[in-house]
Amino acid sequence: MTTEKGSASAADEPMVVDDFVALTYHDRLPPETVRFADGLIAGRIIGQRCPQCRRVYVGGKGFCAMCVVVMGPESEIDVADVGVVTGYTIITPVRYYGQTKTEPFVYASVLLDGASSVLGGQEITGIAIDAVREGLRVRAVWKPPEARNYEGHSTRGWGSLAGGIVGFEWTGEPDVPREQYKEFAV
Amino acid sequence: MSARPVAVIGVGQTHHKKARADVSMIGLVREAAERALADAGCDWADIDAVVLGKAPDAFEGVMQPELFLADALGGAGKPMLRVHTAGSVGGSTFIYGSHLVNAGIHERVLTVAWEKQSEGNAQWGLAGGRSGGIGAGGAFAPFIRKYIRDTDAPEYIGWMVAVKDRQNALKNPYAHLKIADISIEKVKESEMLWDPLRFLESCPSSDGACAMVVGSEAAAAAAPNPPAWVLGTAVRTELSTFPGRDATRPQAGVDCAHALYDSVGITNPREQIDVAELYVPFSWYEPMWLEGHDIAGPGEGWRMVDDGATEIEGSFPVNPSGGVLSSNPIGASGMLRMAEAALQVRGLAGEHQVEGAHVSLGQAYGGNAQYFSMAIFGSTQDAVR
Repeated sequence: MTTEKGSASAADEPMVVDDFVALTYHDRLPPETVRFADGLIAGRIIGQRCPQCRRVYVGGKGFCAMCVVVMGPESEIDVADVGVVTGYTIITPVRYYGQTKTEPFVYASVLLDGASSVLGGQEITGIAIDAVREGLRVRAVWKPPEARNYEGHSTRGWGSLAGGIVGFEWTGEPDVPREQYKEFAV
Repeated sequence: MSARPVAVIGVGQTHHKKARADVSMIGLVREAAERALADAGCDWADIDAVVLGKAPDAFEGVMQPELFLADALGGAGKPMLRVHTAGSVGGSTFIYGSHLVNAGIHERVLTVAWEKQSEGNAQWGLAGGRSGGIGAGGAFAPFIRKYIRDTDAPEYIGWMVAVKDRQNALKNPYAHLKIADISIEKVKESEMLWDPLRFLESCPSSDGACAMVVGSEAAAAAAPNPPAWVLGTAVRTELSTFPGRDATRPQAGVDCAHALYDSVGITNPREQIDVAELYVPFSWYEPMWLEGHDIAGPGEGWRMVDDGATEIEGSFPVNPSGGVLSSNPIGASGMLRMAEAALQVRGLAGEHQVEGAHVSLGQAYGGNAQYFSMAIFGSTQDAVR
């Protein structure tokens, strides 16, 4: 705890007290998240295909959000680790406690081949930051097997690739025409 | 909608600033509440229940602040409730309070919404304390890029909205940002934060609060100032992401608007609504919500901006208050839309009054553009023509 007092000349300055508190949470992950996390460690991206509408979710939550039907282990399939950038922006990082980024970075959505749900918040490498664009063909950049872990998984959100994949790189292939991914853009 | 008529009988807000170091959280909410009570001509004892809203607790790091604020808001011994719907919370807090009167449960309800951004860090809160936070602008920028791509809108549209709202703010004594020399040049030369959004196309961080007293027909008759009749309300929600989601025109926003229009007999919103307060934290959301709520057809929203229709003197004024782009105490930002919409039909909007405003729209959205709250206000109970 640090205490910072206003100077005597500015008597109306409030006293600011920084008081950091740490809390450790233990999440009990849902079974589909555990299978997805184990898949990443094994070098596989597991998707869940809805038995009713056939949509394929990557980072499936155990149910189809559209049909509201259960998707269990029997619905699981391997999804390719290549896809297309459907939307992006370039983030100018702001400073806050815990922020380690200082340089602008790409924040992109990637639709893997055969998937119906996009993976948000992916970094794109292998191309200049100002050359990133919608329609770019990209491939997952895997961590070496010994470095893979359970990083990033929690009971919140769609999940995370961070345990096995650090981001995506341009494949060098021609861009994908917008018509082919428009339905799932952004 | 009405089981029984509901009116806004009092509106109050703080002066919004980057840091209101002169007041505590308690002082901030009381400043707005006392102004609303004075406008309504009533005292704390006349209030039957209190409804409070603010954005996620992580933004200030104060958990469940409604508990320690209850006493300061006259809530001791009365029903008090907290609403959580992310950025739309100010709108839904007001709407929930109006339902308590509408349903015949209470005569007068005090609704309050606030944020004291200077005492916390919203960027840290949004990032969940982790590195690589993108902020709200980073989340919405890809949606905006898609809108521009889908509609072939010229890039200066965003700059025009940014200038228009800041010019309106110069007429609003409570607004945070007062940029007297705001211009297209100034906006386009400001720093790019989240491509295509520039610094001056983005909302500020503000401390501030807003309060509205809603009451029954009898309460309105006893109030000293003219009421704004709450002719209809609607809220809708969708998931933050799902296959095939159109994030530039979320279905929940379309459904919310149509439920609202249908409930009050609006078939042509652009003609039948005199003024709108839309939640526009980033410039491009003005044309996006004009289209997303079917006020304008596909690709017509940006043309309304381009033609000057949304200026204070235009055919469909949007954000005469200066909007979220000029004041952003996050939790209060949604209620400020409702408050300004109410002030407009009461004829009490001062220098930013739109002439002949009899029907107004208040709108707020939140989360990943997934929570919506909307209301229609009238100068009379049969104002919609």
